[in-house]
Amino acid sequence: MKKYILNILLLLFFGVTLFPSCEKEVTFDFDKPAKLSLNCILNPDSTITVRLTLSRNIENDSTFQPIDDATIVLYENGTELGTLTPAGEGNYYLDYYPESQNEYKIIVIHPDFENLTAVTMVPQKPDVTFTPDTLKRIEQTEWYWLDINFVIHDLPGKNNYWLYEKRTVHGVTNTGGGFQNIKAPFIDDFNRSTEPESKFGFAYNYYVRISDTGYDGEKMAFKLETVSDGLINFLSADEHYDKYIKSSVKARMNSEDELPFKEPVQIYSNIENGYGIFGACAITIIKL
Amino acid sequence: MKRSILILLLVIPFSVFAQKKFTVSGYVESASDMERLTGATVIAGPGLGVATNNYGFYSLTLPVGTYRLTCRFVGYKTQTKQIDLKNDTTINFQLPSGIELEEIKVKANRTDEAASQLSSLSFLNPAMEEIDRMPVILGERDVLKTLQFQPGIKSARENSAGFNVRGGSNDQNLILLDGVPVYNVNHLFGFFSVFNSDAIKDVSMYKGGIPARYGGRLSSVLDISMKEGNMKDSHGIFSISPVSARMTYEAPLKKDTAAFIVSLRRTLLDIPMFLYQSAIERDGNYGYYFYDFNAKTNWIINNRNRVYLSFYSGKDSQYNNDNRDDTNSKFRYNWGNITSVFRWNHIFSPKLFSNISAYYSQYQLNNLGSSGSGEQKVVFRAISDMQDLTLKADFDWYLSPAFTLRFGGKASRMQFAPNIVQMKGIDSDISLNEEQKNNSAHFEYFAENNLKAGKFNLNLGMRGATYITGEKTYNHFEPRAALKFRSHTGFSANASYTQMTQFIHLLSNSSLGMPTDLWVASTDEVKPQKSRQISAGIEQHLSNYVFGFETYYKWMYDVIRFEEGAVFLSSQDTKWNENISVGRGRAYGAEFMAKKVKGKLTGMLSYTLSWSERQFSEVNQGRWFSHKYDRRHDVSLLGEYRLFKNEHREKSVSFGFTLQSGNNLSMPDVEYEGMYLPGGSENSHGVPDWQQSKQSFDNPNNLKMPVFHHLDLGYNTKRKKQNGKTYTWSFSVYNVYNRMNPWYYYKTPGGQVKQVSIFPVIPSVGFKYTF
Repeated sequence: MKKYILNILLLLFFGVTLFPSCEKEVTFDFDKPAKLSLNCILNPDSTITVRLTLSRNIENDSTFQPIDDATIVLYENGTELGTLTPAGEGNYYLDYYPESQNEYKIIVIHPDFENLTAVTMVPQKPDVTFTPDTLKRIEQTEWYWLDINFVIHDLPGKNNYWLYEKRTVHGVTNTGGGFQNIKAPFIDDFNRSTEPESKFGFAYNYYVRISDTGYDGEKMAFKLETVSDGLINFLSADEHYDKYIKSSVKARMNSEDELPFKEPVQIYSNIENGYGIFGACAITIIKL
Repeated sequence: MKRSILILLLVIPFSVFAQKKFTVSGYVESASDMERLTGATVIAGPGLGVATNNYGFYSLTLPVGTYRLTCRFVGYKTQTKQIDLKNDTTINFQLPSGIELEEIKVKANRTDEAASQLSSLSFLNPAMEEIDRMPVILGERDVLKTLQFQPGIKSARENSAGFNVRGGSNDQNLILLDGVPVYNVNHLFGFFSVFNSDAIKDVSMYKGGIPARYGGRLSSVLDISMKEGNMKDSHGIFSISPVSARMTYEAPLKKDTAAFIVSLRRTLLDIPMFLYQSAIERDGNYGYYFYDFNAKTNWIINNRNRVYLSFYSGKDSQYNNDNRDDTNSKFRYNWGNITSVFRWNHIFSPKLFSNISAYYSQYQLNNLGSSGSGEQKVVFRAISDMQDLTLKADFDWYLSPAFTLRFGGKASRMQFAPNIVQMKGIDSDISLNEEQKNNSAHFEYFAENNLKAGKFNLNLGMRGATYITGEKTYNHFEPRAALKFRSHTGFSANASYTQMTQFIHLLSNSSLGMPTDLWVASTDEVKPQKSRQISAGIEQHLSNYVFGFETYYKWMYDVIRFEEGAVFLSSQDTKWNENISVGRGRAYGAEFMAKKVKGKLTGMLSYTLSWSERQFSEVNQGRWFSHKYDRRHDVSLLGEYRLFKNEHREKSVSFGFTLQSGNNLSMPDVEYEGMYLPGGSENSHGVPDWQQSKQSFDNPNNLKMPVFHHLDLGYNTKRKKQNGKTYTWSFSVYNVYNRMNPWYYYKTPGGQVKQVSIFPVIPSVGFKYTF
């Protein structure tokens, strides 16, 4: 019997050697050929700007090489609008204000790379009304807490809205950062996180995204508690820019999360044969 | 006299013309403990045989006459009974255990009879004694890990209990314990399964040609039956390994009438942690443990009725208590299953057998944290819960030796509560995601015909399913067909078509069998998954060997996946249905198997060549990409060499080798200039760094991990005493040549990629005592 007890104790000893793990740094040989990367967001309030650069391997931390010798052609509703003018450092311009509800197609031609193509449609400016209620003054400042009732009068068709604040304090301007004290059923929860100190127990990181799925053509009303003397921006994004913003925010939050074993996020791109984004937006700005 | 002859003449033609038939039926049991034997064969003559069903029942309808009934089952001595069949007769067989010369032939045929229309590549039925002798990590016998040596079955990660079958994903496997679905089979993040092999009687698995009596998952069915309890005598098993201790005890409640079995397994991992923390007098404690508890009782009421009651409870718990600076912090991370089933076997007639059961299955994941002192406390709790309450009835109608009809149905009510968050603080009491709770009802019904015609076996079936959720009702029909041709030379060919539907889905953002894997139900917006599979193969049985080859193609529709970056039970409290993509899948491949079934050396070599791909419109611009588990090659070698065997001792050496193409994972491999996000260009400090460049990859699962391989060796020595007690020592070495297979990769904040390997060479010793 003693022999068996001794053997059982040996068993427990072996258990102590459980799962010693080994960690080592590895490098992957990502030798991918460079591709063109195009970034352009059309906005009815601005002329057209395109940036064209080259992609690089992950291990390479040099600056992105600008491409100045490409031909970039823009089409509006199937009709050629013009060729963008190179302005150096990878920038191209066209002195034209794109119009809402028009479809734009871009083609980039370069002898060393495959042609890039992409299509987008410029949305209409969000139709937003608001009624602020002053709650209380913030001590030792000239600002107030406001309870603002917003109503988005959704336009027919698929629309996605992004809210962000812009605030200038002592000459320093900050945008984004997130929202607390806001709650509505049509707000996308993808960037929501627990915030026990906030009014509703959660906060939205960087932006609030509102989708009109289930509310097409209807009024979407919600309340927001915020500080006076800032700007609330309502950005209506086309489907491509919307996906780009969402995937970028997800990737950012992913990198901040401490949970292990998470999957990396693929940044959305609608550029055929390349990288980047060709999208469109229209912005309504509310001054508080 | 004349009147008597007239009557006789009148009667005789009727008796001759009618060719009266009668049925001989009964049960096949083990003589030592009255365990009913599944798949035992009862043969009355050439072409006149039948296999027992899952409850050990057989029925054979024969013309009036004299027959020599032969009953056989692997590991037991063959029994023969002479009968003179003049009316319906009940003949029960009680087979004594033992090895016969014919055993190996029977062993080769065991799989054949249990699912006579399928090949041994589509239907697997390993013997528990084989599983007991395989080399395993840390001495923990595990049914699921032994099955992963079979062709077409791949582990999700090294030493994970999660598995994928023929290109399917982890949640597409229906895992049943005594007929009850088990929704999470992972202990210790997937390193061990919840199945205690000491309590298991039978394991069978369908990878293709799934008969109509099974449904609810796309890729496979794993049907595990617990032992029923010894009706003759009390027995027990005590075993211990570096990971856990197990105790199983069975005994009659009333001899030959009722019996029970209980089995408990608990890990020992927290013991060294507890001793260490006590030694350093730590303020608070932390640790981890898991346990499994199985209990079963059954009662033979009379010849026609028998009832069973089974219960299972298993749990993992990670805990951390901290007492510092007058602040008490507690953290608990628990997950586990509860299943219970009541079954009633009733024989309506010698030809009609029924099983009616009611079962309950629950899986719950609890994340609980509290911090504070006295009245000033903040409590956080996140719960994911699913419950399944089902009533089902199955009937086996043995119309003739050549034709068996199975039919039945079930009604289920399921309740889902994914990621319900509650936070209670000094001034707050908040509940999130309550609206995510979802109830659903579903009804399934099937009919399955098994026909034997000469050398052909045909199984034709249809399964229907109605799923009701919210405002939507889904109706699906699933035709099934399997055909096998068997020649007298031992050659066979088979083909099958299977259509399946799956109403529940497992959302997983890792392959680890993490408790953060979330079971969700189809909704008004999220449709059930569907699949179609065709397979065809050939098999050749020789005296000592079996060779098999089979190809398959599987189409999958409405498969869902977590969107990238979606994580549950972290600080993000997101609605699951807003974080999924819906798409398609396809998987195809070929499996080859060679088995040696006789002699001192027995074993199996298998090779699988396969592809598995997915397509989602929101991902990769709608192009097809490799599935995470798209592992092109998979070679497995499993075997045992019997060194010595007599009535007092047995010694054997076992080995297992596996070589697989690596998993795929998504790893950013390109960087390009980013477009600033809304407001990004208006910051006084400039566009934030994280917006200035983007790291991404062309398609998901772009990186293939290195080839994965390891060799395991085991040595078993068993001593049998005169009083029936046995002592078994098992020594094993996992990963003999210390291959550091990558388990996962991660990126440091500095941008370096690190590879983590968890399983070096690991020797272990296990001990088992039976009484």
